[in-house]
Amino acid sequence: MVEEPTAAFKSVPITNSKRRILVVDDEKNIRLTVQHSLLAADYEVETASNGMEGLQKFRSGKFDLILMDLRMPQVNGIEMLRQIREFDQHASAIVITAYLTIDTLLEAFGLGVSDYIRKPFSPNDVRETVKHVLMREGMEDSTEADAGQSLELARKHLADREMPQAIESARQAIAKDPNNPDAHALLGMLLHLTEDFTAAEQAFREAILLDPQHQLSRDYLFWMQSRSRLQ
Amino acid sequence: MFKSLQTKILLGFTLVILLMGVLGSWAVITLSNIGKTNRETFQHKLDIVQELSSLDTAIEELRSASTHMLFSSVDQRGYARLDDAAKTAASSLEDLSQSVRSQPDQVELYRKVYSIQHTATFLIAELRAQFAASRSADSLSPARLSPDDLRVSQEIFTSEYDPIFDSLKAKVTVLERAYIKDLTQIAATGIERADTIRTEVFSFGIVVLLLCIAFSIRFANIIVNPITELTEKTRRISAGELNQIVIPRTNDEIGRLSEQFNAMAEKLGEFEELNLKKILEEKAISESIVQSMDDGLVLIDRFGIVLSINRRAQEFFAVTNVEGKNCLDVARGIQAFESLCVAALRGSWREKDRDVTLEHVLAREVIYLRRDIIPIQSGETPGTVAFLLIFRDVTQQFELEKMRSDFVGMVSHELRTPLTAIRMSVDLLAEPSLGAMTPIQGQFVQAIREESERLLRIVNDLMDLARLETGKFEVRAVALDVQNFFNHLLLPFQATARDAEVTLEVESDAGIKQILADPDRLKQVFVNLISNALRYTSAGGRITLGTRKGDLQGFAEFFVRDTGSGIPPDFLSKVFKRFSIISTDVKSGTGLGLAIVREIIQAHGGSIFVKSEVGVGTEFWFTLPLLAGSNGTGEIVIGTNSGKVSVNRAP
Repeated sequence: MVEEPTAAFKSVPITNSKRRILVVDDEKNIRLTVQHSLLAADYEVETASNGMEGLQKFRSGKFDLILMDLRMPQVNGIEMLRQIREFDQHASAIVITAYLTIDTLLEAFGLGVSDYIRKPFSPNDVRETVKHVLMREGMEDSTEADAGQSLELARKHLADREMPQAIESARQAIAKDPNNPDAHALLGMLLHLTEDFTAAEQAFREAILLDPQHQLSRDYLFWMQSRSRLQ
Repeated sequence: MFKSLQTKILLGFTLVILLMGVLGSWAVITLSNIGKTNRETFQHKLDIVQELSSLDTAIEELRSASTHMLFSSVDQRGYARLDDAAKTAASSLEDLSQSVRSQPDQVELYRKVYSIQHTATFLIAELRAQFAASRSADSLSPARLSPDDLRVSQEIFTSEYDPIFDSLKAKVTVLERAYIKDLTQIAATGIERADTIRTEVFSFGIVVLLLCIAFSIRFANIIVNPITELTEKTRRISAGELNQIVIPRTNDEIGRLSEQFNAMAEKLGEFEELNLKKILEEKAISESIVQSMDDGLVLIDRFGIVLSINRRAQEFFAVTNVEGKNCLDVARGIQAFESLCVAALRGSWREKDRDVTLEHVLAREVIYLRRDIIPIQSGETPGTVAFLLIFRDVTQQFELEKMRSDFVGMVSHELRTPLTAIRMSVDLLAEPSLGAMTPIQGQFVQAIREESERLLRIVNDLMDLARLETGKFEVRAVALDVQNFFNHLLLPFQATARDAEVTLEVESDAGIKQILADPDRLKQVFVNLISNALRYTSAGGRITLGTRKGDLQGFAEFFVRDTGSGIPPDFLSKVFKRFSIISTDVKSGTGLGLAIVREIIQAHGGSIFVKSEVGVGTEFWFTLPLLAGSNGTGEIVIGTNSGKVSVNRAP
């Protein structure tokens, strides 16, 4: 999800000099362009062309972040995440997806991804997402946090699968700025992952009300609707 | 045998008439016979009486004449008188003897008459002799007779002849009396006989009358009985008992009628059998249709008793021999079945429920069912008498739909990935970090960027359309301020319109302030329509959009009108179909815009129309529901093509 830079980042020290990023995608040209987008932003980038290779590289080298396509032959993004979590509970990961299937995305969030990038994306979309994810790593819980910081904190807790804290932060973000659809959508996601489906749907509806074009909320509600049609 | 009823009737009457005739004739003959016998006897006896009477008179005359001669004067006149009397007496005697002689049985009588005759003849002879002597002496003068002689003669007459006369007279009188007595007796007998005959004729008449009555009754029965039988059997046939046979007992008209009746009854029976066969055949046909149908069918009555179930339904729910049982019992635990029974019996089935696809586990295999209830009315009983529960296996459709959806996802993914790579490459190429490009290089990069964006639009449109068309599309309609909406809508187009030298204006009905629509989707509609208009309107043209009051109550009408090249009539009907592009020039859109527009309008519960004239222009117009009123914060529910969606009001 691409977001506007918020005031929250000003107080957080930027320590991204030569952060190491692993890009895993079976598509050569995606790999190439993503790599170069990040190289241009002064990151150290390595690539892998499949899940197995990605896992090997991730184990051997110390990476701050892994970017991976969800859809890959043999070992896909979810499988990679699952295996990574077996030895690294806190590694930050961003998933790349083309056709957003909510169940896959929810599964990914359940495994602690920090964010996702949706095709088609631009070099700036990649850089912004990466920047935000790396920035929130050093964040601490704070009562003085503003709406944007609370939201980032919620995302951080989500990535660490600390659901109660994540929900708490999301609620704080909404309390401070009730008009941010992203905050509502995030709360919806968190509530869904804690299996409070009714409240989750309600949160996504709030997001839609604020931004009718809110893609994640649309996709979620559409997915819920088609699921409920079967029951 | 009597050939015809007519003959029978004629014969019957003839017989009666004949009987009457016999009776009459017999009476006449008997009576006339009686009369004849009596009259003859009577006449005969009367003749004898008359003859006896005239004999008596003649005898009296003879005595008188004789006395006169003896005691008055003997003269010619006396002689003549005596002679006449003698002759009369003789003649009477003669007649009497004749009459008696013709009566052979009257021997006694004859003897008596003979005695009288003998005496009378003797007397007449004596008298003749007496007076003949004196006559010869002096033919005409009795005075010539001496007084003594006369006196002697007188004495002789008185002593001798008078007793004879008296005896004769007595004999005649006795006989006469006897005959009168006879006559009286004959008359009495005649009367008595007549009485007897009257009684006999009367009795006989009564017998004949009774015979006639009996015969008539019998005869009537002979005619009427078969008719009564026929009537009864006809009544039974009309009551539906067709196997009626009348045994023809006679060979007359009724007999023939009976034969015809039998033939008719047989024909009727055959016809009925044929009909029954036909009905059974038709029943068998419809039964086999029902049985072989691919849908599961269960017919239940209004109390829930299963009247009929077809093979498919039995397979679906793995039930057998359920006819006559309550469907709630039969369906217990089978959710898809049970809930439909309940819905039917409670009357809680709604039209939208038809679109609900239900997962059903059948022999460890998941199938998808759609269901419907058809209430069955009867012409006689008011209300619903039965329900037809329909289960349609839509697994294949469902899987196809899933495949289609998966396919769209896959295509979308497969297209987006290369598009992403292109876009990334172009963007990176344009980034200053890689060094400056020559202007012509820059133009080519721009061309690649534009076309990749167009491709992406097509992919997105395809995705949208795929979702819209499967009805998996939610309209999130809110109360929308029309004026505000148009103001924001036109901004991005102003520059394009200016460049194309096309006037873009809004012509809105002041009465239409708020409508119920999804602003995002409505924007998509207008963007598509305005883009189209711009594409086909040349410089100096005019594009007008706005609202107006439509014909439909509760709906506003929106329009987009241009003075462009127009749509050929044969193409007009296809404009809302996918990939319908008139020309393939560079300005062409994705070919999906109008299809998307129509899907969105229909999802809002509206309709879209088009009219166009080549060279003059085109107008698209559509209807959207007006905001009639809501409870302010609650949900408004509007109908869409995918059932009902909940609608939130914008804050």
